[in-house]
Amino acid sequence: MNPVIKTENISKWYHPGRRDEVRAVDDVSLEIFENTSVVLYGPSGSGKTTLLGLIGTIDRPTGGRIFLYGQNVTLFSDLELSRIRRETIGLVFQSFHLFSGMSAWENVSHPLIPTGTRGKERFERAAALLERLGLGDRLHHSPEELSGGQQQRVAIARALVNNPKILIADEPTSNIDEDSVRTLLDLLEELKNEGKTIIISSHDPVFRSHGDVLFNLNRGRLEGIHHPKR
Amino acid sequence: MDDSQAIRHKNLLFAALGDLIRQKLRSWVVIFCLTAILFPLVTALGISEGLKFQAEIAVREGADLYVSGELYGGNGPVSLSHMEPLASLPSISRVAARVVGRTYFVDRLVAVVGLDEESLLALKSLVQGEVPRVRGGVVVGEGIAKAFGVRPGPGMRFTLSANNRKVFVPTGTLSPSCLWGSDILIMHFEDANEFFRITSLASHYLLYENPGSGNALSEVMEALKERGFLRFGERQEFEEMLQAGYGHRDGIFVVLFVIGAALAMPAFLVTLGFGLRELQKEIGLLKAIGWKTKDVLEKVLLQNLMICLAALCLSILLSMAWIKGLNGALIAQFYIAEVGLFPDLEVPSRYVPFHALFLLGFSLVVTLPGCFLSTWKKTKMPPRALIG
Repeated sequence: MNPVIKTENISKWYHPGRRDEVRAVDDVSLEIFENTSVVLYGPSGSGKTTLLGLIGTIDRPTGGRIFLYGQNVTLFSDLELSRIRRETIGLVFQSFHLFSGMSAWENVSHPLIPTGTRGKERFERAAALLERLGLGDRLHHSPEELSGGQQQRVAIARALVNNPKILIADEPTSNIDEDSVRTLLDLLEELKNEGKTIIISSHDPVFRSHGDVLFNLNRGRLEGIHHPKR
Repeated sequence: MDDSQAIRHKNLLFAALGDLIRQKLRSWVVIFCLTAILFPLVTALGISEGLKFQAEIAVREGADLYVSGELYGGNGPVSLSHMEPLASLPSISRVAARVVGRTYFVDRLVAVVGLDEESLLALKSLVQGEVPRVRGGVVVGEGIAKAFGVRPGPGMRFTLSANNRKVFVPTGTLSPSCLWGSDILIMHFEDANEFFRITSLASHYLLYENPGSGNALSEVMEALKERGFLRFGERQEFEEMLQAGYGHRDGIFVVLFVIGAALAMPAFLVTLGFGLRELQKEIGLLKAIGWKTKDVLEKVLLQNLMICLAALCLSILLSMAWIKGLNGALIAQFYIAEVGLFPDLEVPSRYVPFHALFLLGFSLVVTLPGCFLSTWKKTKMPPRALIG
C-alpha cells in the first residue's frame, strides 16, 4: 500500500549557520497511510506544530522532500499548494484562528467563497456541518460569543467544509475542557470511520491510546514510532 | 465567463464588503484620509467645470462673428459706417454694435457695456428688476450693487465720470450667477458712447448668420477684408480658445495636486499600515484554508475599489455642500479672479462623469501601491509565517 504522506529527511531550520540557529524539525522521515489516525507527540518545543505545518503545506522545509499521494509537493508552486489545501487537506489550528466578527456559519463557509459556490449552498453546507457537530443553535453566533470547545468545533467544521481526505489538527485539546475532549475524540473516530486520514499533534496522553500510529518527537527529531493497536 | 466564475466574483465582492464592515475603524480611517485628499480636488474640478460650462454657454449664445477695427496691430474701435453694408449681406441675419469700456465706480474699476435695444431685451432673464427701457437706465452688476448698495428704487441715481459726467438710474441688477457680470454696468449703446464722448464708433460688431447659409462667414470675412483695417473673431475660434485655456488651467492644478498627493503619500501609507498585523494574519489564514493568491488579491482590489468609491462619493457630497452651502469659500478665489475668500457671487459648479472616473483612478493609484503590493508579497510567503 502506498502512503498518503511520506516525508524524506525533512528539516526546518531557522537562522541556519548562525549562532542562534534553531532546528525545529531535523531530518524527519515518516510515512502515513490512508484512513489511519496518527498522533505526533512529544514535549513542548519538540517540533510537532512545525512538522504539522510542513505536512499541511502551510510551511516550506529547508531540506528534504514531502510526498502527498506520491507527488513531491516541495516542488509545487504557490498555486498548486493552495489547490491542495483547498481540495485535500483540512487544517485546525491550536488557537483555532477563527475570523472575529464573523458568525459561525460564515467562518465555516469561508473556504467555499472562491470556489464559486452559491451563498445559499454555502450556508446549507456550513449549517449541516455545524448541526452535526452540535452547534445547530449557534449558527449566527460570532467566535467571541462561543466557548473554547464550541470555537474548536467551528474550526473543525471549517476544516471539513471542502470534504478533505486529510484532517490535520494541532494540539486540539489545549484550549478546551474535559467534556469537550471526549466529544472531540468521538468526532475524530467518526471521521476516521468515514475514511479520512487524521493527523494530530498532542502532548495529551489521552490521544496516545486512540492513535493507530504514534510518532514520538524530541528536539525536532523523530525518536520513535509506535503502533499501539497492533 | 461561466456561471461558477461569476458566482466566485460575486462571492468575493460580498466577502470584501463584509470585511470592510467588520473592520469598521480601519475602513473609516482610510476613507477619511482619502476624502481629505480628494475633496479639494473634487471641489476645484467642480468649480472649474462650472466656469467652463458658463463660458461655453456664453460663446454658444453669442454671435457667429465678431468684427472690430484695427489699431496699432491690435483690436481697435470700428466705424459705424460699416454697419449698414454688413446688414445688407444676404447671409447675415442681424448686426449689433457694442461698446465695451472701463471706468471707475468710486474706487472700483468696472466694465461699461453699451448694447442696442434688442441685445438689452435679450438679457431680461438674467436681470433682477428691469432692463433699461429708456436712455439713462443701467443694469448694475451684483458686485457693485452689494458693495455700494446701488439697487433700483425710488430716487436712486448715481453720477459717473469718464470723458463725460453722466447721471444714471439703476433699473435692475444682474443675477449673482452671472460671474462675468459682477463688476459691470450695462446701458444703452448711445449712453455708453456719450459717456466716453465718442461718436460714430463701436468697440465691435456682432454678426449673426442666417441658418443654413453654408460657407457664408468666410465670404463675409473676405468682403470685410476688402474694406481694410478690420479684425475678426469666429465663434469656433472662441470655443477652441476656451477649451485650450481650461485644459491648461486644469493641467496646472492636476500637476500641483499630484505633487501634493505625492508628498502626502508617506503619511497615507502609514495609515494603510493601520491594523496591518491583523490583516497579515488574515491573509495567512485565507491561504491556509485554500484561497489562492488571485482570490486574496481580487478581494483586496474590490475592497480598495469600494473604499475609493465611498471616499469619492463622500468627497463629492462634501464638495457640493461646500460650494452650494458655503459658496466655495476659501477655494473659489483660486479659480475666479477677484472674488476674495468669501465670494459675493454665486460660485458655479458642475460635476461630470469624466472627472469622477479620473478621480476614482487617481484614488486607486494612491491606495493600491501600498495595499496591493504588500498583500501580494504576503500571499507569496508561507501561510504559517503570516499566522504566527
